[in-house]
Amino acid sequence: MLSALLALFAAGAATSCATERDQPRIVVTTNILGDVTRQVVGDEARVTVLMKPNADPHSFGLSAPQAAELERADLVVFNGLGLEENVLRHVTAARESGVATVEVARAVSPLTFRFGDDGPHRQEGQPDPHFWTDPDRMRRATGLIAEHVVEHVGGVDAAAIRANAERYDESLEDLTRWMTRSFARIPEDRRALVTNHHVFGYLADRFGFRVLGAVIPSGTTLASPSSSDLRALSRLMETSGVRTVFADSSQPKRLAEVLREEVGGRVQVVELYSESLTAPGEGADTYLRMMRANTKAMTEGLVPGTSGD
Amino acid sequence: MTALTARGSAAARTSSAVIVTLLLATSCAQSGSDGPSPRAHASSAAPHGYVEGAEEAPEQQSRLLLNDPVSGDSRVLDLITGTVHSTASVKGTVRLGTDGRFGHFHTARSTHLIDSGAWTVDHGDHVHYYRAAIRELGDIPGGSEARMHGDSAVTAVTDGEGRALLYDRDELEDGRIGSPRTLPGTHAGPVLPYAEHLLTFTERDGTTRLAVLDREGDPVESPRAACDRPRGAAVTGRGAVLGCADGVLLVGERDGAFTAEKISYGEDVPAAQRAVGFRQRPGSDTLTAPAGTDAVWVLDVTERTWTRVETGPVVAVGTAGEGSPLLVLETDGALHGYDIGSGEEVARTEPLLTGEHRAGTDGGPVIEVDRNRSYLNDPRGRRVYEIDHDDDLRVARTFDVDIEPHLMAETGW
Repeated sequence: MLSALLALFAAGAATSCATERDQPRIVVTTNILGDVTRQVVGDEARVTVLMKPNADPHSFGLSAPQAAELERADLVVFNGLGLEENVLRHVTAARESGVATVEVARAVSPLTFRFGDDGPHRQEGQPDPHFWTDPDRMRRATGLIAEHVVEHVGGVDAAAIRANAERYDESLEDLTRWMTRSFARIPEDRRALVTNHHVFGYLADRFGFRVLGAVIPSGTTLASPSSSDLRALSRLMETSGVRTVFADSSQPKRLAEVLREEVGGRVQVVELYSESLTAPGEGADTYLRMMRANTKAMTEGLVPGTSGD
Repeated sequence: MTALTARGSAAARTSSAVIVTLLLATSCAQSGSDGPSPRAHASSAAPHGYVEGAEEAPEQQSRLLLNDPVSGDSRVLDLITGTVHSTASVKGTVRLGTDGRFGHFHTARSTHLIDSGAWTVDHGDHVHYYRAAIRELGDIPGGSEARMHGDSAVTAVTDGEGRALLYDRDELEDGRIGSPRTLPGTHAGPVLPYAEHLLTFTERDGTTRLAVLDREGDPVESPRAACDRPRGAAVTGRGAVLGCADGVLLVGERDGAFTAEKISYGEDVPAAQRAVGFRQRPGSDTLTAPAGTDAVWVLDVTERTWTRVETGPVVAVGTAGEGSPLLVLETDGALHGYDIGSGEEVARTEPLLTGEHRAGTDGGPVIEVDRNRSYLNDPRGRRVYEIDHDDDLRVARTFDVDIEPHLMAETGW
């Protein structure tokens, strides 16, 4: 009842407000694609991003007004390949009602999931939606978004959109170059990500890393671990020769401490940004900053004493 | 804001006008700016798996619910931080159950519900772990025979007479019990939410058969499967397991079609020795249950096999499965580990329990098992033991609590 009322009055509000009525609308599902789309669109259209900062693309959902907004959009940009599980049906509904949509991940030659012996197997062979960890694929995404905006969003200045996209493409080209240079400092045999993150397949493929999926001992285990609790992880560290674990843990210090006792020497636990931008000022508030922060963390983690710059 | 509908029409118009004005102001101010529309915040539709104030965590946030039925004292032990929280007193508790998040304190008259504030959401290729504040939800009617089974959408309560009520999980997540829907008919066993449907039993012409209902309670096509004297139920990754006099029914679902398969004991099992109280590590395909007083049933749902392991006098059982030993708390107060394949005892602790415990006593100590650790309550010792079941039953931690924890249930899964 209330949401119906709101939708009704919201529509009224939109038409009675001149600036709003004239502004074409683009709705983007994830905040990573939201940032890229804003770079491309500039002031030419209103860009609404559905996923909040520090959220999870797999589990964020839409309110009824957001869903209604999606159906009134001139263009919907979404990641796809199953990433935004709770939003995809709304995107499908919008497309069926005639809204232009673009599924970015599907259009940038997706890789398929590959898992080692320690990773989950349920999605093996399925297309991997986490394409953004490869900046070259994000360049293709940028071009794709620009084309769709020009084609489907009425009233925008096509030349301005293309110029924005070109400028952003150059930043992404710089990013790739900078990442290549940073990673070049890591000896080939140490380019291994021992990690519980499931999103770095594209980065690994692009920059020659191995992803070694690891089960990270949990909070209750870390309180009083035995060798068997740490065996899988310590074995991975020993066989890969890598002493840095890229993992989310509620007790990173404790994890490093118990691993140090197990494998000896210096052990580091490093957190990475994975599927969401942060709030402004928190370290990964744009796609470029997120990629640079991760590159720096990986390089410093794998080659002690170096810095990403 | 739902009060809007309850007010007089003039008042409603006034309220609506206020909303319109607000929207006009905010939507003009917002145009061209960043961020989602302010209308998004007016919605009551909470995103899936999201609770205001809940925090996502990198790992499972295990907690133990503890209760002393005599004093009524109840506690929640946070296994991550080691802290203990007091919750509402519940006296005369006969059983303490959980669906992984909500605690069900069954008494002779009613069932008290609390939100333990720890749970897991499974997204197939990965899972999400949440922690939030502990909340009291209140009481629902139901006697000591009431059985509760829930999934991510509904919680079914079946009473001793076979009447069943469905509670909306969304309401529980919002901190309210809400008004239940009555499921029509009389049910010959506990109603089990499974695969977006409800599994139940109906009795006709002296035969008890499986029935599959949709979430409205309407029958859908169900495989023909009889189950004499249904008791006990569990959900595994391979299907739902429903206990019958001669074995279990394994009910599966694929693309909306249900299958049922009987896994028989393969021998005559006296009523006193049949598996009833299934114990399971959440998500595991290995179930355990006492087989009378001196043996334990292990049901491997993947292999569809029953194994009977001869043990000492059984107080409580459990296993993590996947090669981990069968855990048996025996009347000597020690935890014993048995190799499930050979039936050999492979590990044993010192006596951990204070005082004497008789075999088969209901409502005594339990073994709660998760992937990494197992937990054992020592009521009279006012302690909970954390056991590393894959390291010779090493006592990893001992938690002292300020109540006699006769009943215990683990949440966070």
